[in-house]
Amino acid sequence: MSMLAAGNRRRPLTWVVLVVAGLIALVMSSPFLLMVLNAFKTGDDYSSHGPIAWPRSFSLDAFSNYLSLVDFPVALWNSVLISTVVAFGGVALSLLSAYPIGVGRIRGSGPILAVLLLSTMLPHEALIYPLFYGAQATHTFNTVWSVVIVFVVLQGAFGTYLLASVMGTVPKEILEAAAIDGAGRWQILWRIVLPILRPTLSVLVVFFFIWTWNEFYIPVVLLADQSSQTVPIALSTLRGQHSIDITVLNAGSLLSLLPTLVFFLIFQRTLNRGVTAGAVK
Amino acid sequence: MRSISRRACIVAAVTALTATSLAACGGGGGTSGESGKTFKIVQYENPSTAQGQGWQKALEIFKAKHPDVKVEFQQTSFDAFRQNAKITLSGNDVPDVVEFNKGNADGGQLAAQGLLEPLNEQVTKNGWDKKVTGSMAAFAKYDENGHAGSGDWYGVPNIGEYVMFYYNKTKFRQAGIAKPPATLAEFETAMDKLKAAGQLPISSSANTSQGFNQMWIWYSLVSAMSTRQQIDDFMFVKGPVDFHSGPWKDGAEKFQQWIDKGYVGDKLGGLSFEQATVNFLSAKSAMLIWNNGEFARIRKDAKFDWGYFTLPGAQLSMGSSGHLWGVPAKAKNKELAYDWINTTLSPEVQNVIGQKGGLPLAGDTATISDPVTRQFTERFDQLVKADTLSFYPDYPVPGFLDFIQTHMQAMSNRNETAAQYLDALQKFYDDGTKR
Repeated sequence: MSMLAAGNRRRPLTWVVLVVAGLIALVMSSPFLLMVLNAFKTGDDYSSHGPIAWPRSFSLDAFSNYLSLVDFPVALWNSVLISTVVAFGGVALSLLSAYPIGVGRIRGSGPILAVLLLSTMLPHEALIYPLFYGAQATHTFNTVWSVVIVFVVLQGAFGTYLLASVMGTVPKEILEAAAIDGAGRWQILWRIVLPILRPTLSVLVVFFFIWTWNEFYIPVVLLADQSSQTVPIALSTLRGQHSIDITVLNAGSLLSLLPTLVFFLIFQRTLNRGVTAGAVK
Repeated sequence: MRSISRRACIVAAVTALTATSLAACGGGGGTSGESGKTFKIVQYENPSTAQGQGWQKALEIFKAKHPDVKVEFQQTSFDAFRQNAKITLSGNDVPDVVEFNKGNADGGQLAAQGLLEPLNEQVTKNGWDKKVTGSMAAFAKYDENGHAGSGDWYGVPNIGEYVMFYYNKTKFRQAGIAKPPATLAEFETAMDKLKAAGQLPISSSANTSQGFNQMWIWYSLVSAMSTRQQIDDFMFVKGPVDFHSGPWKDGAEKFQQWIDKGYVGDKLGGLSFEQATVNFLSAKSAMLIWNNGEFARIRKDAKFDWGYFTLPGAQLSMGSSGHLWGVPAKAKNKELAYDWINTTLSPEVQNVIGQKGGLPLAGDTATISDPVTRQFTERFDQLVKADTLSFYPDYPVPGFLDFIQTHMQAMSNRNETAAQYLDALQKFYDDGTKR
């Protein structure tokens, strides 16, 4: 009863908040909705009525066109493989390299972090020549492994920076207690630090996955061959110099987006669970 | 910081979709087989276009002729290849034959840096210079500084393109215009009638990204008043160009008049060519300026009676050869590459391109069965034969496209006058060509 009464008292304000939140959600999702809208139109419907009009008839032509123009299964496999390996590999690397900086407090940790941060700030264009020649020298050019290596390192640099500062907030008492109980450095990392950081790590996995999925510039240079192309590169082949097929592009974008959306939804749940499970009690 | 910008990126990728967000770069490098058994072609034509379909035919012929060769026909994108051509062609494993963009900023630089093989010998041997002639050959040749128009052959085009005004016949009739205008004055009268009938005469665009229509209107006007010599001086940096006189001055002033009179509509700064096309196709304007690239689509999608004409009374019209085939200097199978280029210029392939409305350079127009496509191709043949195509204005100087687009947007927003534009143009061109 009392809860209901409280609900009643808040009702006008709740409604206002709800409407505002709804409006913001609508604005935020409008690009996505626009894409969905146009993905299911026929080309001439789009041409005659423009992008905002409701489709006269729902059609899957754009999807079948997209799948006939682009080898989507191959691109999808490449993207999933690269993004997954980078997401987990990058987080593992970050954890290992952040541990001595964040918990071990090694000397010169400030400058090291600054250098790592710098590497994530550099525009990819500045890195591309060394990466290109490096990939050639290691015979990983045109294979997904060149991109995997590059992004494990690049994402790992950012992850190290982030995790090192998060590790700095782990209460010293816990670490000291563990050390007194006879835990070695590895045990402290696996038994103490890792569980505490789990929520942060899962967030990083999700972000690394999505960032890597959307990467364009480095993959497009290193993965010139069609058999190793990723989804964003396959998508870009739809665009000509003086022509662009909007409905096919929308259909392709929608298909390309779904995996990241699914990934995000799946991991959002573990992410929430992780928050409660990993909290310092 | 990073997570915010990256998330913004994700949102942008979701949002934009126009792939402008994706349009960073790209490439076509390659693995060629150990013993020259794998032949790799890298190109960026959509397989559904006329040229794309012609090349499927070429692929068939080529494979039949070389049964032992494994042919890899790779698809990349125009932007990707253009921006990464230098890096991919300088690698160890390069494709055997590539499609590349013409012009001093693209093909010229690849040629000047020794990344492409000179083709002179092959051109004479195979008679490619008999098929690709005059202005169609101009951007196939580059000198040691990478300037087009003279020097060695580095590329071979398959097709051509020209810019025209597509028009809505119903709207013309409603505005009391009986037949397409024959002179520039008649054209302007027709536009006045359309205005009086409450119609937008020309659907245009001036977004700095992909809003090329205004630039094409401006350059069409310049071309209309130019002689071959004046255009060649400008295009191939042959002689000094005084932008404050002759067709440059008159063209820019007329262009400004057209903006002021509302012939091209307003609020163009945010529109891209795709939106301009949709505005025409959804009957919001009487005309659209574009090249043959939208011919097939307008034919398929237009719900009204339509026609097309090149700018009436023009001495020269916008248009040029298509993209070029080139052989990377480091290619391992050059003989096969020459045979591939030769195949794409063969009558079988060229006539497939012609049938589909792709404006082939060496096709037989009389064999085109569809009358609309045949007339459309005949008009192109006339322009080539008369040698009156004036190319695209951004070819002479690297970075010219962005420069022109910025000023087109400023003029369309009435933030800049024709005189101010010409001052800036003179300076940019002189600096860029070191005069």
